[in-house]
Amino acid sequence: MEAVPGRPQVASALTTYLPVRHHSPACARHVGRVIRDQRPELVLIEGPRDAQSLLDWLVHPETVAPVALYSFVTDPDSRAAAYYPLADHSPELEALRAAREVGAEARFIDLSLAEMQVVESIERPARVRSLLEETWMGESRRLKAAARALGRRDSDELWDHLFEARETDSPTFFKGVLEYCALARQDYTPELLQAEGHTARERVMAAAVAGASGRPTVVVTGGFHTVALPTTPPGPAPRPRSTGEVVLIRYSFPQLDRLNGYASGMPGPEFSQRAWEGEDPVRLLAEVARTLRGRGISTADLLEADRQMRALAALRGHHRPAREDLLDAVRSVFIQGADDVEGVAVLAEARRCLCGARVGRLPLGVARTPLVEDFEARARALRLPLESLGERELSLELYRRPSHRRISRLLHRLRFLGVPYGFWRKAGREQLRESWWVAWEPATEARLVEQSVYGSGLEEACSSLLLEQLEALPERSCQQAASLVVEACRMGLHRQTALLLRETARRVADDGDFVSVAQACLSLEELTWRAPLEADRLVGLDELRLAAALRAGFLLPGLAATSPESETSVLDALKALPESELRRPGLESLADAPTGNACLRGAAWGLLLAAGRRPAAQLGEQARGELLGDSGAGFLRGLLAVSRSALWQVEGLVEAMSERLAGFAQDDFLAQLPHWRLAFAELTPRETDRLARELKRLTGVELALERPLPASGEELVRSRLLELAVAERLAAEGL
Amino acid sequence: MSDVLRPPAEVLHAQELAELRSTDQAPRPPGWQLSPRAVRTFVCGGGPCQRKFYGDDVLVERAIITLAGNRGLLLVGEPGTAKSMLSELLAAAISGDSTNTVQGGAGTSEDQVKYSWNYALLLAEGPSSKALVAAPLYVALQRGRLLRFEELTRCAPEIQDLLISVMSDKVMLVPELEGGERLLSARPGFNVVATANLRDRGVHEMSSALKRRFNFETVHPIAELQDELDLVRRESARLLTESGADLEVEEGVLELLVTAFRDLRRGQTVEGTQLERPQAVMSTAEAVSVAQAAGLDAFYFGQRQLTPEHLGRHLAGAVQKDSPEDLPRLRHYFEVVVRERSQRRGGLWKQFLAARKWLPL
Repeated sequence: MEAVPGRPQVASALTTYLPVRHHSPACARHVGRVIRDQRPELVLIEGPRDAQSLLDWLVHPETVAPVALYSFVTDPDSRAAAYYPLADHSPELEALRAAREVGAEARFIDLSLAEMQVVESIERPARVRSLLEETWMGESRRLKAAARALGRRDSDELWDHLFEARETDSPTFFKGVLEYCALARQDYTPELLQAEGHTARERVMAAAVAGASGRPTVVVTGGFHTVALPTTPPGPAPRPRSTGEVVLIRYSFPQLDRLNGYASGMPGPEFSQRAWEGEDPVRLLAEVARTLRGRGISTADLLEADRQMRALAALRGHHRPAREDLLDAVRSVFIQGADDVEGVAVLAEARRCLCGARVGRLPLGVARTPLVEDFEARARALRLPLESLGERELSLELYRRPSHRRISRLLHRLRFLGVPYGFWRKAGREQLRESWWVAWEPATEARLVEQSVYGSGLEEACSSLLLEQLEALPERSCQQAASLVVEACRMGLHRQTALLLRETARRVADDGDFVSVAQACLSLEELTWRAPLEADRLVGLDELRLAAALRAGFLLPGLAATSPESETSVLDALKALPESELRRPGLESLADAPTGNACLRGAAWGLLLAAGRRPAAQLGEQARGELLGDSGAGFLRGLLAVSRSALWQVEGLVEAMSERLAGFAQDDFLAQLPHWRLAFAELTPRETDRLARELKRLTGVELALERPLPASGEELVRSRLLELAVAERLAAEGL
Repeated sequence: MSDVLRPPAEVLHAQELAELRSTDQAPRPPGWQLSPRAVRTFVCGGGPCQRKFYGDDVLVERAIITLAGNRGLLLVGEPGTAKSMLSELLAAAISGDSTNTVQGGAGTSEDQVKYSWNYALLLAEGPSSKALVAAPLYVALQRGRLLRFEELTRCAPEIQDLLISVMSDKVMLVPELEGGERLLSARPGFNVVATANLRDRGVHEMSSALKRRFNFETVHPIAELQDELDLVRRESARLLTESGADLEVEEGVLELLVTAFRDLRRGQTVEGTQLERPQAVMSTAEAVSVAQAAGLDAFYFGQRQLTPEHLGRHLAGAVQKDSPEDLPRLRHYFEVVVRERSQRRGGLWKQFLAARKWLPL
């Protein structure tokens, strides 16, 4: 055991320490028994101190487990959230219920989340956290060695073997648990205890115990702490740096199982629940067999599995079949093949049955966050799921059905708030339907609680968040502002868009980045042709679109100065820019620029050709001129990117290209090759073939197009250069 | 040194079995010589017994419980994972006899499984139980013993399916005989332990009727390095002693061999380097075999000390079984992993790298 500095706590003879493992039905049973036998005045439980006011709700007769206390801190520098889940078979919940029965006062004595943040100096992984973590159990080297020595696979199986599957009297039971946890505690150094916050927490809990001296008390804490608690000197609670809140939410077994997976807690909540209810495990085994009926598992197999399960339990000295006894029976009997092939799916099904799908319920009177209630009311009205019964696929016909439009708005609002509920399958732009995958999980409620700082209803919360995001936008860029307008329409928040539109217009006027303006034009364009977005309700939208188009046109001549690095993005933006008369003056300017970016110049020419503003012959002359200089490849790239048909429309273009290519010196050709390849990158395979045929006709050269190249382009260029170098050397030597 | 190359398990471990039998107080299933707990102790070690099976203790428990029930036990897995050894140990402990075995193969016939005749006696005196030559299945039924059926899936399906009705009805018909001898009923203690390789070439599908008569247990290669190392050390020492090679094995040489095997088996080194896995199965049995060959080489042709060079000389033989691609993969392993380790750790790995000159071109 660890040496604790300072004077040891004078253990009151009236204090009984009960070490527990969280979510262990055996611990719950013994805790309940001891409290009912001893009838203490005070029951102290390891739980967040700031949840004291919720204890009555936890034992309310209408509260149906699983539920959880959701603790969160929303300060931007120290965001954190954690769950304190409780099921019927949790020792903590049983302690609360037993305390109520015997008329004892119940208190939570552990630090709150905000206080814990102060005392922990280890790095916390970014995922969801449990306040009932037992990673010390899952990672303990000594427990692993003990498991192996007893022929068990891991510490979870060892726990079941020693405690869940055996009947003993309570004193023997708790003594065993204490020894088990003491073994794991030996892996910890004082430094590690300090860093993980255990020392501070134990001091505060010890202070709570000291405060109860003189009264008969039962202390229910995780066994890891019970090892040290009686001899820990009391200490003050740390001052938290941020404010935290804790609320009561519904919870589910799948969530509990997943959380316990990270936190090394008891696996298989449904199995624990049935064990708590005293049910024969054969029922759960039969349920597993039923789900596997499709794989050919018969009643005969079930009988054999039952026999196997009981015989294994007997061999291992278990009074009742443990979780692994059941799973081993599944492994032996239900897998008709190799366990890493056929067995994978079978074991997955079995684990799913052992996990279960229960969802808790809260009584009507409990204070629920208004945002949560608003969400539930609307979801109920639209018949969306509020229990975790797996994912549902929704295909919303926004154009035809108003109810679907309402559903879409609700789902977009939740998405905007970052609440996990629906997953939007974003398809192409020409979709008549919107596709979503929808599933409720406890995190939905948890996140809504967090976001309630924005408002008490979904509409209000989304508007607030919209405004917050608007204020955080960069000053001179209109791209994100325009997307926010679209978002607002998706969410059905048309009434709140006046400010948004004004701000977007202001930014459009100041934005000097063509790509950003083009994106904005595109977003605004989408608003007009997607009828479900009801953009006609926006006041000032037409003016905004006009302003954006004008701005884009204004920026076009400046594109001549585009650097090669930004060429691709600018070209894409130019291609995407919606067609409008307003851009023609700009395009003409760009096309006539004597110097500057050739690619964009070519694109401008291509767009003007497509709009019928410049004749093909004129383009031909321009192209020949470009090809004479170095800018030919770039010009072609821009031209072909916006108008591939120019290849055939412009007479003599192909000839000019062919002449130029033929006229290259060896070195120049190799240097220019990548640019020419890029120019033709936009062509479809058919067009490439057609071009090849055209060239063949012009030059009479036969090309074997089907032979695959054995080496990469780079290698070819390198080998060709090598060949040239060798030929030069040979020539120099006179060979 | 015994006068037999490889005595059966019940002879080799006769003393342990006798001790277990005398001290075993727990209830025994009908026809069993030991209780399930004692059988487990025999196989996994504990008390007077040494550990003989290095793998999954829980798997052994499930296997024993299966055999105490109505269904047979089918051990599946890659070659070299000690399926046959486990089958032998179970038969030795449960029935006291591991020789009641059918070696399955493409040419296994019904006679070799059920029974055949002493044809001279048959012709002279007509059918009688005296003229019947009992094959392992007959013996198992008659005497209440375990039948071991090795490589079940290599037999033709019609031979495999002989087991179906016997295993469900626990009775075999001998139509040639009359009266009470016509029907051979199984005595308590009868069951079947089979082994099979499900994914090799030349194996047949099992019919689903047959599959339902068995509980499947998959035997995996040994998970822990230390366990595999202990096994290889013990087995190679035993084999070398039997071959008369009294050898000095430097600490770490065998660990090098086992590490190389594990790297190639998994296709990934401990450091995380990805490798191409050879198609040949790099099993523990193969590692023992390489260790033995290298040991004999060192003893008879060398300085009586096993070095990594000897290992390198015999490694190619283990790998070069199936596919011609495997030798380049082994060479790649030397070039990348062994070289890196020889630079980082030196010592034995350096000697091992030098041994790559023995790899065939």
